[in-house]
Amino acid sequence: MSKDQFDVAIGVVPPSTVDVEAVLDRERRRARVRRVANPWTAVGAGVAAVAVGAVFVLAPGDPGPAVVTPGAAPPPPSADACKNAPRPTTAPLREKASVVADRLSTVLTDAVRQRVAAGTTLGVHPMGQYPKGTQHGPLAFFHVFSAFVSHEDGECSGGEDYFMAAASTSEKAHKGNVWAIVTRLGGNAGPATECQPAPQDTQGSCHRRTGPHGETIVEERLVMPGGPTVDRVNVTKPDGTGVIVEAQNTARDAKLGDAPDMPAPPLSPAQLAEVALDPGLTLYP
Amino acid sequence: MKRPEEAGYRDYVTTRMDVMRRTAYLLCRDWHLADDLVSITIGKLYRHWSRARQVEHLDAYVRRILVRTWLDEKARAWRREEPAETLPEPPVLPSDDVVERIGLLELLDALPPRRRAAVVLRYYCDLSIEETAEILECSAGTVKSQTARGLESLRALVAASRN
Repeated sequence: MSKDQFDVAIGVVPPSTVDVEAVLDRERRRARVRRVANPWTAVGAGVAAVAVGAVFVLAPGDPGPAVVTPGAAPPPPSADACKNAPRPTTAPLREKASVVADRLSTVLTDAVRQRVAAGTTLGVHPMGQYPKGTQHGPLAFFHVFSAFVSHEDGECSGGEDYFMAAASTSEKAHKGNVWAIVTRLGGNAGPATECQPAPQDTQGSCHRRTGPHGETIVEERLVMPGGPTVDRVNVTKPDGTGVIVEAQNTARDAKLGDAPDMPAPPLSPAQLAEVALDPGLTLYP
Repeated sequence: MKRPEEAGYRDYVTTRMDVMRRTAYLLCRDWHLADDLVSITIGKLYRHWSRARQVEHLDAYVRRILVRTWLDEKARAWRREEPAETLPEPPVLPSDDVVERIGLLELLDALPPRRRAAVVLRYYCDLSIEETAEILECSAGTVKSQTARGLESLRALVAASRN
């Protein structure tokens, strides 16, 4: 029995339907969400995850599958990989997801338009694509959802349940982007409630405070030397809603390492906090 | 993942795509599922690329992900195949080489998942017994017995198709 016999048996190989770029998009998205939700994991392990309908590692601080070399003993598989996965702890939604998305879109769009520089236009952004190939409008929320699936190799897939919106911003030659997540607390995309160390190779500052109605606010600024600046505000509201709003001074995505397209992100941390604290940005109106 | 790392990942995945798809197909004998398995595998690889790219045997690492993903899929109830009462008639009588070709794949398909994986890893991926045992998370002795039984069945089928 030889490799050639197998290749002959396989015969003509049909064109591949594996979309590497789609996998990259999906993994970047989950990395972004996990980085936001569990920043210490990204700092500690240098990896990140959360998925759009595919497999991912959920537990904060999970070191991921061991790098195995021949002869090394593998770790025992988990009986239920999703047993300890983060799950929403606040009340289920009372509205349909589409109704929630429409309502949040109106609130966020108004809040952002009121605060960006005069003449700024909002456009679609690749982060507003979900599922792959379906592009949502500027700051139009969509429901990211997938069921939990426990895998024998100890990984857990699915478990996404949050609303997301994104837009590019353009004001003359200045280009940036803004995105937001609104979620029930306790899930895998919840806002940070404490300041965390900045990721490697990034200068960061962070400030935690309490809002006027008891909200927990964590304001972060991450600056990549020679690269873009990311301002992010995490708000945990007493009604059980988590809000994350982020602005970047680059047209695409700060993680791609592009040079800044404008001096500072289109919204300052203070403005992002105002947006996130808008009473309309809630899952429980 | 930073851009240079991502470029390295993309290069690796693109270069190894064909062999990953072929290996996946030998395991599951369904090109759609094979591509699904490869997509899941490269997704997992992306998540651990910063460490994976430093391992000595990256191909072995990726094969391990692929095989484990497939065994995992096989364990899921919704993936289990539904037996049909009657087999469809082939539209034309296949030639001898096609009989042998289809027979090899069909017999491979008839092997239990772990035995099939052992045969594919040993004789298609050309792995040692120890490397195969590592991926299948079993002893070298188990790999020997699995592949011996698998080969025995394959040889019998090839002989029968020639007769």
